[in-house]
Amino acid sequence: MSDFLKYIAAALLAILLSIIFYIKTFSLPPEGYQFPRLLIAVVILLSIAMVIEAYFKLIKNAKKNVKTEKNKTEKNVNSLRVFIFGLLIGLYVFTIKPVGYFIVTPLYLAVVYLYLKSTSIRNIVLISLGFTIFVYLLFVKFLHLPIPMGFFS
Amino acid sequence: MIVQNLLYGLVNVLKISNLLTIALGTAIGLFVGAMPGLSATMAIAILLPLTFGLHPATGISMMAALYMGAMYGGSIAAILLKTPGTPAAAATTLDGYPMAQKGQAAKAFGISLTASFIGGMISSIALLTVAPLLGQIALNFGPVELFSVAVLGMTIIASLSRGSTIMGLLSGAVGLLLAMVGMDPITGTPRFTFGNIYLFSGIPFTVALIGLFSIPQAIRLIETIGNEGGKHKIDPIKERILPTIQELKPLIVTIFRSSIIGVITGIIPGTGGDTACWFAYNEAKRFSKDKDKFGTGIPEGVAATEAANNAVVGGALIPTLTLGIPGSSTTAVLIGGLMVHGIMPGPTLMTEYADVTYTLIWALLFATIIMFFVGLIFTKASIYVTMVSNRIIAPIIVVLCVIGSFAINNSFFDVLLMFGFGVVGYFMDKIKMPTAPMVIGLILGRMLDVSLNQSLIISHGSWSIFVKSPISAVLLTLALLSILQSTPLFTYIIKKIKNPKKIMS
Repeated sequence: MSDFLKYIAAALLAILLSIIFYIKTFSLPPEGYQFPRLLIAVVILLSIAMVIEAYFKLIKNAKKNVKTEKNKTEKNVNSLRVFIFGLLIGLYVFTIKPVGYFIVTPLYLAVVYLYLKSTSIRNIVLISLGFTIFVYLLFVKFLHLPIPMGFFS
Repeated sequence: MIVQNLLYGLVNVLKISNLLTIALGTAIGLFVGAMPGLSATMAIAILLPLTFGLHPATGISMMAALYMGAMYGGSIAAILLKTPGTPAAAATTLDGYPMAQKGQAAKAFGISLTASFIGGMISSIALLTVAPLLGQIALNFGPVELFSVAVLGMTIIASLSRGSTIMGLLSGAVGLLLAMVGMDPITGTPRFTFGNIYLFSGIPFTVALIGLFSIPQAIRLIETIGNEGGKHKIDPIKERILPTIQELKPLIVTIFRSSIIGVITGIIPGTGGDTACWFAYNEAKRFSKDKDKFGTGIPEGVAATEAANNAVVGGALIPTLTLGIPGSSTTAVLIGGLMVHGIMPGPTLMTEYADVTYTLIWALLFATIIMFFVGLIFTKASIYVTMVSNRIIAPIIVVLCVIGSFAINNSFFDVLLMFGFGVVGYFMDKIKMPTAPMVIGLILGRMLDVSLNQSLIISHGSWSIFVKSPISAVLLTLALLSILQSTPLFTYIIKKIKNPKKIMS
């Protein structure tokens, strides 16, 4: 996706958020919606300004025929790897509550390490289990903070 | 009253438990700072839940010590690998790495540590002296002035953030809008909660900042795998680290100048260690007789940047503690640490929560002293931390984010919210929209809302109250100027003033 389209998408999302919030202000008393409505107007104006700024930048770069630094570095980013890593984060987040910390965390760490070819199998097992136990001891035993236990609750 | 509070803070900080946590925070900061790609802000954000089990003063002191330690730690990777451990150490690579190439790594570490120590001490003294006095002045501020201070803080942060001013302002405005979620402080009615009871008390600030700062960081580490340029071989350092008096003498002026630059840069909201280190480096070069030697591996280059980035810490805490306006994204996270303990940012920090605030002020001074000794002991060990692969660190960050955001309120909704903010933060990063203004908007939103409503009640609905108060009028004018200074119109006017003929023709 080109930079300009990215800015349009970001602006549309910000405007959409503003419209949803604006609709919600109708159920509020005047003291409750005064400042939010002011902010909604500011967000919409700035979103439009961002697109205009991006458009002028696009024209300027087209005139100079400039390839930005960003485009050069983006080629080095492995999008598939980032997508899979993001997907694994999502899976971890959504399974930790029903299944529990003790099963999901070492599994998540081991799968990511295997996927990224981080280290040897022996080290993967050691780090995954060791870190899971370390966080449990730190949060639960030492600081008395809760962690999602899932099956073990 | 100020003296009493200062003494109380000193007694509090000298408790063994506090000194130990400060030492622990400094050591963690040193190691985190040494790891390329991990910023102090992210480290504080993911370790913030650890402070829940501690007294607020102890927990927040530990985090401030971590901040100070990370500022020095950042120079280790910069010197050894030419990769700054933290963004604030970017300029250290210019002379630090060439020094290491010449076999003077130990000397570079020593100069970095000493400069960091002096910079940290100067900024701690500035914080100890300026903050209580400014706090007294801020106490006279009513809702009108508070509203204007917050507006000024927001506009400066947005306009001085990296990238376009419009995007900085938009990020801040969205942050402010999200801060409106929750119970309306004036009428007590639920606002933008969509019927979700978890949102009645607003978006948990700590959860948002863990997501915004840490998840994008973890993904960035994954993105750069394969671009690190292979494994680096690290030779153990056997030489003495501490510089001699003769080595230090010619650097003193540079260190003091850079420290003052660091303190002032820190005070200005929106600018942090990364700005200060380049500013100080350029000034050191400008004042030097051997300008050409900069960049070839001279001690002045390392001393200037390292004194400045550590001096930023105390400077950035001045507006944070006196006005409740975070001076940088890292201090915004520190404010989050106070908020989870129910301490709200604002001028009352210096009075209502004097025990916590004055302990924190002293903690910074002691953290600087401890950092010096921790640095002397652990620098040789911490160089091995620079070898830890991004492939190992990234998933560990994710686990800490998930467990930390759950631990805050024992709520799975917070984990989902953190993940959501993480995704938003990642895409903001992709379009180069700064996340710091959004975080600061989330902090200041409530303060702005309450002070605006209170001001309008006082003035019976008239907005002219904001220009009738002289302090407020000046602050709002400065806010307007801070936006205008980053527009093309301002650049045109400056050019016209400097070179009227050229523009006219």
